[in-house]
Amino acid sequence: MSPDGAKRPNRNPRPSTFRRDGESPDGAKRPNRDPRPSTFRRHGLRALKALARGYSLGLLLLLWEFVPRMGLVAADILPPFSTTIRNVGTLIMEGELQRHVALSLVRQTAGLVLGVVGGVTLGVFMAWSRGVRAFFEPLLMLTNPIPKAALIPLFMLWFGIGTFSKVMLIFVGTIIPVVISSFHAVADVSRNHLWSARAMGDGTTRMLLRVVLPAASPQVLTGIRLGLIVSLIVLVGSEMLAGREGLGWFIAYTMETGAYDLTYASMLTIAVIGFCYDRLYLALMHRLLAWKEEGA
Amino acid sequence: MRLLTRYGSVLLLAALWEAAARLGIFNRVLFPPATVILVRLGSMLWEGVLVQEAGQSLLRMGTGFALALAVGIPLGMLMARSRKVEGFFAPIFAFGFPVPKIGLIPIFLLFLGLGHGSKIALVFLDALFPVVLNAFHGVRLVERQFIWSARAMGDSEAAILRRVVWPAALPHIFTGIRLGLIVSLIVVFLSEMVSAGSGLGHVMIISARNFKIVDMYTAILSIGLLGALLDRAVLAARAQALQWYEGEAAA
Amino acid sequence: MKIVARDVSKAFRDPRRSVEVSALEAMSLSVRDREFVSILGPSGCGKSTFLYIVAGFIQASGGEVLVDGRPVTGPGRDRGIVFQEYALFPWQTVLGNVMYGLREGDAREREARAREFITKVGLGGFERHYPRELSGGMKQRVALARTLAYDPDILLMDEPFGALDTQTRLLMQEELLRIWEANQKTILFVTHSVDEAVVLSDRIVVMTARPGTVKKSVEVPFGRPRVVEDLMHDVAAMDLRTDLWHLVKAEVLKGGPR
Ligand SMILES: Nc1ncnc2c1ncn2[C@@H]1O[C@H](COP(=O)(O)OP(=O)(O)O)[C@@H](O)[C@H]1O
Ligand SMILES: [Mg+2]
Repeated sequence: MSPDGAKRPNRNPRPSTFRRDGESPDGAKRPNRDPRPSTFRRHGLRALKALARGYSLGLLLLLWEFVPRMGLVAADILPPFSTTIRNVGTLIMEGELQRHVALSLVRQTAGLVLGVVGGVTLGVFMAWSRGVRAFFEPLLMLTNPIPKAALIPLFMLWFGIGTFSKVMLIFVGTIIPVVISSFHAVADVSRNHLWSARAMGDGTTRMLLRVVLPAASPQVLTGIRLGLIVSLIVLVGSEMLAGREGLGWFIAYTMETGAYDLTYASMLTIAVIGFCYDRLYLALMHRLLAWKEEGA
Repeated sequence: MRLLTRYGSVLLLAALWEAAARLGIFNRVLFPPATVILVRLGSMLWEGVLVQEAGQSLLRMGTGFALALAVGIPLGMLMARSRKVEGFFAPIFAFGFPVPKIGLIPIFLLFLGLGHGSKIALVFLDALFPVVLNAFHGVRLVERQFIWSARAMGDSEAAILRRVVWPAALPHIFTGIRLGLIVSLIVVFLSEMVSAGSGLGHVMIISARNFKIVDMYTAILSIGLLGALLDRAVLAARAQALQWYEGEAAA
Repeated sequence: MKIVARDVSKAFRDPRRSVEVSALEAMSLSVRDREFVSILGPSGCGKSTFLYIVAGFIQASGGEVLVDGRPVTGPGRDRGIVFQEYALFPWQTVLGNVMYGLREGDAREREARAREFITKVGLGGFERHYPRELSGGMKQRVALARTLAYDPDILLMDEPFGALDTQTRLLMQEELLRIWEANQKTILFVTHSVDEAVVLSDRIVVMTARPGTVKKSVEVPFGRPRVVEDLMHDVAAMDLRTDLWHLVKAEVLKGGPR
């Protein structure tokens, strides 16, 4: 797998260091293992290998731990990693962190789902109807390059500072890339595939579900990923700017009140959430695109 | 005339907006007529205020973005060519790519202060990820036979990098540049809204907070125009550099 | 001997199943100077692998390859390569591609030489076209011109006409014969087509199914210059084709379903 885990054709089949279950980079030097180790050993080994491969991350964490400990940076500006972990624990015990995390997740998920469903639908209609396309294409061309941060004050004004306004932000941030990618993807579906489905007696709906959407899914997923990344940024930013809840707000709040140790705890949480969201996306993608030949 | 039909839907919406605002169907304070906003944009441009604020934003964004390109492209290419470098950096980029870096803004404020430094650093960090990853994939996906052909004709590794790997990876590198630009723009205005005394993002949020609605719309409009302009510039540079690539994907 | 391969073997690690796949085993072969040798075998038997080892792109797991008596350690300008997929640089025009490998002389001399070879393969007038604007046959002509232009002693060709339609393929075979008969080079030509091997070669080396090794080496008794059409109906050629087909068919069947 590649560093961002995306599935792409790999024309140079040298095993990547980041391959999930590839060989160790210097495979040749490795002693020949028992061909069928116990499941436990296999998983244990794999986990160990994964850990060893992520050594650079470990190095960063060590740096985080020891720079403040050795007094290179004051501990109240940069609390050590272990202290931050402990703070995360305390915040969870107090029930404070979950509340904000849950709210941010609900906003993000709602906006994302709406954006993906709406985007794919609109994309299909644009690809299949000239009229729909003629109406929406210029709108998309104009709104797409607008940096989405500019929508934050606008939506604050229109929809207030609560959850609805944030969901709308994420919705818009997601739907634009998803519409564009699914429009192109659906328009690109090979005519022979469509004809084959027709020849086998598929109606429009069946063909859409069984041929068009699967064939378009790789490109659509690329659009979803861009939407995911952009909307996470916009969500955190808008929570920082307005409202009284959400992880972004909590970061800004602790920062303003000088509770830096809690700021770090919440920043770590956000990093982990972003990472988990991405892994979830990747897992989904690998399921959906299992049919895709990697070497093709 | 062609423009009229092409952007028909946009003009239609703008006209509807104008009419609704003028006729009082919309709240006139929240939705000032489109013409009022355009006039304000003109006068603010004329007075030079907008230009100055845009300059601040551009300076921050441009510096961070340029640094991200200068570091990211070579780093991504190096990662694709050397297993050691990849082994070191790949986990960092895999973990860091989806993290909304704007959430880390407190660190930048604490260490770099409220001025340009923190914004430049944030833009740099956010743009770096798509640039590195796409350069990496671009180089990784270069056809093995291209490199072999060059090698058979006696090219050195350095010559192959310059004459084969670079042009072959350029389409992907441009994808990274464009994504980096999109993210940079979002982040620079966001960070200006969160903490700054200048820049278009700052103007926008201050106007919103003080209910100077027309000013807010004007700032939003200029941010949109700036975004579109820069996006166009990258696309033009891409078309210029990749003339051979046109239609290649389809072929 | 121009090329000598002794007991060349190659094992690949299958990245999915972490087992070793033996692609070549004890493959030995000698090619005389200016000889045209075809390697014939079912797909997947290791033909490309062997050719890439001779070219120096990949390392053998065992055995050695000598070119002009010196062991091959990497690619060199003495061995030109033509791939089935053309491998033209899509960012270069036809002219740029053919000039790519030229080293001698100033820019004008190199351009003149490149134009000469473009004309030689019948593409005069297409110098400024990009590869994507050309048909498969034209692309393969450019690839041939690119390799011929810098004048390597040996041509290594990996199913160069495999992707072309039958008519274009016949034309290209004639063209190759004409070029080769004019300035004889040593050619190692990989193909899975019995007809093609018979028409072109001085000698045909039939390979076994994977792991590939030499099954039989067959001399082709027809004189030069050859005319492709004549060989199509020649009785001796038909017999030779039948014999070869039986040899290959046994190997195809041995390989299991493909
Ligand atoms: N890079 C590689 N990694 C793993 N297996 C390979 C690789 N290249 C070739 N093989 C395997 O080696 C065998 C021979 O391949 P190849 O030389 O391409 O066959 P041919 O050219 O005769 O069709 C095939 O079974 C193929 O799957
Ligand atoms: Mg082959």
